[in-house]
Amino acid sequence: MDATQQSKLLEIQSLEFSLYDLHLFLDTHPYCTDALSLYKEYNNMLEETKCEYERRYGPISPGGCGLNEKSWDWALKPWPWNQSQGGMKHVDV
Amino acid sequence: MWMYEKKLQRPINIRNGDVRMAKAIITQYGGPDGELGAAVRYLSQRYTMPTNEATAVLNDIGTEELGHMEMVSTMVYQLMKNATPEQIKEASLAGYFADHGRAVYPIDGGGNPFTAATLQSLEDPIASLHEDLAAEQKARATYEYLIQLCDDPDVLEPLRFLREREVVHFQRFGEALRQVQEYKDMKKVF
Repeated sequence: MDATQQSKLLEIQSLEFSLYDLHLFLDTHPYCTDALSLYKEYNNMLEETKCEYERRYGPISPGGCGLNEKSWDWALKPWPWNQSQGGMKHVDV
Repeated sequence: MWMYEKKLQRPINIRNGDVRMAKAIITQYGGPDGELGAAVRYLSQRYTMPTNEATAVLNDIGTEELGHMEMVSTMVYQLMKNATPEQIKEASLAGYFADHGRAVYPIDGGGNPFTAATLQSLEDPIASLHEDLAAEQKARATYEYLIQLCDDPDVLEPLRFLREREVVHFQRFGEALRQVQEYKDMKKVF
């Protein structure tokens, strides 16, 4: 994974982290409208960023913007625990 | 149900192997205060919670724990994957290697396999939520012990992140407990 991809992924991880923390906060403060509007704002940002990433580097979600007509990249692209090494080698079964 | 997202909650790229550290960190996968136990505890307790808010907290923290289990496993995998049999023997992991090779398997720091005997799930929500508050504190303490054992920034950063999450979870469980207590008090007034 090159530095550009790494920083794009980090952007997604940061946005999703902010969203997740807000999510847990909303679980115990379900009528907090400030948190609700912040959630909506971050959620829109995440969707855009994630879609852009998936188009370029492959799927994060199976049915997301990384869906490709020619190959099931979900299985072929590297897994998160060895992305820094470029993932495992492709094997034809 | 759950859908997998093909990424970690936080990046982990450990450049240098360290079997001794893997042996210590693995307890946060399969040990008494580890992430697998946390996920099973919260996801089991959620069915009998009296309020929707408390159910949501258990459901969502239980889900995040699954992600943390993946982070801990990733650390163990990356720390061990290039280890030589010699390094494995030096770290007193020959027995582990004989049983699993370099695969990730849920055990505690002493090598005992994961057991649900170290966790509880009670219909009494006050008792369960107190167990959860204690679980978060015990996991925080364990991460602090691991941080004391570690000097590699590639490993320290994810450990610090995970420690911090225990603090946030403790906060949310405290709020859930207060709400459940208020709900129970309310029901006593006719």
